[in-house]
Amino acid sequence: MKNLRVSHKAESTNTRPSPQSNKFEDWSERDIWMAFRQGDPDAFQHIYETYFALLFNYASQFTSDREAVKDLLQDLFIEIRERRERLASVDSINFYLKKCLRNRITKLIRRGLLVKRTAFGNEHSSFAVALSPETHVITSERTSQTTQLLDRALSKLSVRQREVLIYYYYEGLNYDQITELMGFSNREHARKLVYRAISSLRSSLKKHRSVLFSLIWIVYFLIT
Amino acid sequence: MEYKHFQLEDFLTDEFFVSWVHNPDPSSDHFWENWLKQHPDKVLLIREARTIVQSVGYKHQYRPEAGDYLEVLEKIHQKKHSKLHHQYKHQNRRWLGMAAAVLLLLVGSYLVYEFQPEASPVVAEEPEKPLIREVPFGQKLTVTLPDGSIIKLNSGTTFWYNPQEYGRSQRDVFLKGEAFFDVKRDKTRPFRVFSKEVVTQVLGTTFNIRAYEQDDQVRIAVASGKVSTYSDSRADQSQAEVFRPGELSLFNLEGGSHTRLSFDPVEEYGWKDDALVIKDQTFEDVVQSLEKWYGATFIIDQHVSVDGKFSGTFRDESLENVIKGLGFLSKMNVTQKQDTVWIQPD
Repeated sequence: MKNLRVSHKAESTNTRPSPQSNKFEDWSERDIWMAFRQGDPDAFQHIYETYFALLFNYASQFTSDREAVKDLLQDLFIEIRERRERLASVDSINFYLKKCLRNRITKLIRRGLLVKRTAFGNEHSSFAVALSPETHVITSERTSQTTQLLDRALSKLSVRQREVLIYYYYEGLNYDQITELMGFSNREHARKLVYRAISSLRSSLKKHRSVLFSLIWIVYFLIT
Repeated sequence: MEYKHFQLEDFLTDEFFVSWVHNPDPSSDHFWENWLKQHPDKVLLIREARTIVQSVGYKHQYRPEAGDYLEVLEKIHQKKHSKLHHQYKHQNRRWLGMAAAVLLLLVGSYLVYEFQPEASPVVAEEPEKPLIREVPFGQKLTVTLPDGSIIKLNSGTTFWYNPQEYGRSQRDVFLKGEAFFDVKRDKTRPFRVFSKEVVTQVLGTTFNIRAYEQDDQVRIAVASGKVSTYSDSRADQSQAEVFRPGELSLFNLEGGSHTRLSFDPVEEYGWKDDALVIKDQTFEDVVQSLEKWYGATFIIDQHVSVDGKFSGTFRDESLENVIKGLGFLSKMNVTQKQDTVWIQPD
């Protein structure tokens, strides 16, 4: 366990820490969070620095209102700082902050205080998912057709399905974490959502048989 | 089920496999390497699954602007909550008040019930919940509001309002997309539509609002009666202006301008009578309109490039006939299978 600098005062008048490069470089998330809870302003600053852009992108997946996204981040950080002494310890700061943000966002949307992105295969819909740019390596006609089809198939999934795919594959969360994050009653729900999303993608692509073979060719080019 | 019987979907939904791809460690590496040695026929499948797991990501990475980081940090240090936060807290207080009132009501009615052999049951008030209607591409929907106002929603539209609040002192509704309104006249309770940052206020009248998410303008066309429109953006609160039948109120959201124009009723809201109107549209715009109207998917070869404008009005026509009618077939190679259309160069 690292030596933590513990400050005994609840609040100091100067809450702006001096810039410190990578004091927390080797620290575990758990320890950084603990330092923050104990009042270390550098820890708070580090957390803000590390997660600001990530959380900005995350909140923007739910709503296109940029001012509201900034407001949400503002409120989130003010609240965790006000409540730091009462907060529990966490293993993943990323997960915790996302959970707080998601809770607030869904409440605001439900009450009509925040407008969500439309969900109709629109370019900028909520949680638009894509295969990474590397998959567009080959430029033959047939393949660009395939990637377009994949694109369409992805956009035809429901918002929840896309959201779950991002958490499961991109963020690397497990079913329990997804269940907690999205507020499901049990983890089976999360697993089913992923399964249905994958099956739905497969059947969208199976409709065009030749395409399936093209998919395997793309995969071949990528891995050799 | 054993791994050796797994298909692609099964690997993709298996936590152990996915976490190995995401976060390999010596023990899971050891397991999978061994397993693959024993089942070499699955190597291709595993590689395909790995690729898919590793390539899923956000289509759009939304980035903050240059000054945002410091701007927000500044507000955090000032400990000033945002306006959104205050709206949220204000609602909470009202809910609390309502909850207290409900509690009082329940206790009161229980006592009454206890002491009177015949008492009518009390229905607890439901918390405020907006009623949301989402209309997918290829469909339309008509909604009737509690006061008898009728709203027809076009494809790809989201519409919502609070049934508890509606009709109290205002009649407020929210729109993202396009709708034709037939509002019941009521002098005491103005009807307001919130679409993006534009507010349209009426007493009783019929009009069309077009405010799709991706548009950079909002169009309000008056069929009968009078409407008043103004912009409620954070940057600018403009003056409300009144528009009469035959007039179109056009807000340009990029430039922030507001103009008064005339319009052709069939072009502007022919959709509500199931008329698909295409007027001087580019090829790309036509494709978008057709995708919306029919819920179709167009796959267009990258070598296709079509100049010129298209026009046509169609009532109750199939997608196939519309494509013919617009003259697509003479300019390119079109194949259609149900609701997917493939376009290749001629």
